[in-house]
Amino acid sequence: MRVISIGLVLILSICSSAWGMERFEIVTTYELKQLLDDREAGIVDFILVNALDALIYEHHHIPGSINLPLHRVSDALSVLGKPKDRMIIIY
Amino acid sequence: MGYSRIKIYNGGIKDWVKSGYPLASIHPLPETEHRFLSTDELLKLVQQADTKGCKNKDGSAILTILDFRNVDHLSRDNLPPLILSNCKTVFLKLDDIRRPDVRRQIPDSGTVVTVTETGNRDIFIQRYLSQFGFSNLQELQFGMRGWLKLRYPIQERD
Repeated sequence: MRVISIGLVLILSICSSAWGMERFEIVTTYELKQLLDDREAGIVDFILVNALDALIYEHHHIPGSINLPLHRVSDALSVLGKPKDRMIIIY
Repeated sequence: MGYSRIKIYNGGIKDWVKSGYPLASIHPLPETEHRFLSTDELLKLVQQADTKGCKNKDGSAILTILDFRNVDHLSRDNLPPLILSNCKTVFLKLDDIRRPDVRRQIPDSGTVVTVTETGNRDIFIQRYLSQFGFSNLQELQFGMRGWLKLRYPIQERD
């Protein structure tokens, strides 16, 4: 869990600082929309994670996303669950 | 080991909305006037405030800086620098402004400048706090990134 938390801290901190994005596969807006539609249809499974503060998430978020703010990354395992090969898309 | 299939949607909410897709909302924030200071304006204000010990004649603070940058995940040796100023800097987490005891740390007079990493989150701070009568908040435009890019005076955290 410590390794998972450290990994997610790294990723979420990269997202929050907009640095090092090239290390991860990028999903376009069109692709995300397609994935969300496919998930709705039961074709694909993934978690869409909003890494912003809860206050901002509650104001507005992409439908179908869950909130995991950077400062709560230690909750990652309980929020994201155990299957570690599940696709996670972070914004 | 760990979550191995991680991808980034770097378009964010801006691109999502620009593409015409809807957003969901749980607690929408009220609209408020978006007030901000440019990096140069804040530098000038800091310099002027520092010459007066950052106090008005009535003893109130000329300027207070609210630093909302997320640093909990960083090691002590790797903490980002602060704006160099004799004025008070209060370190807050954005979500914590929902607590009354945290809001009591925010002055309701004088200039209060919010500082985030890039200036993208500040409007939400202003919109949320406007519900509690705070009308003296201004955002540092482009956040600390803008300040650092111009190599304006900084200091290390204690």
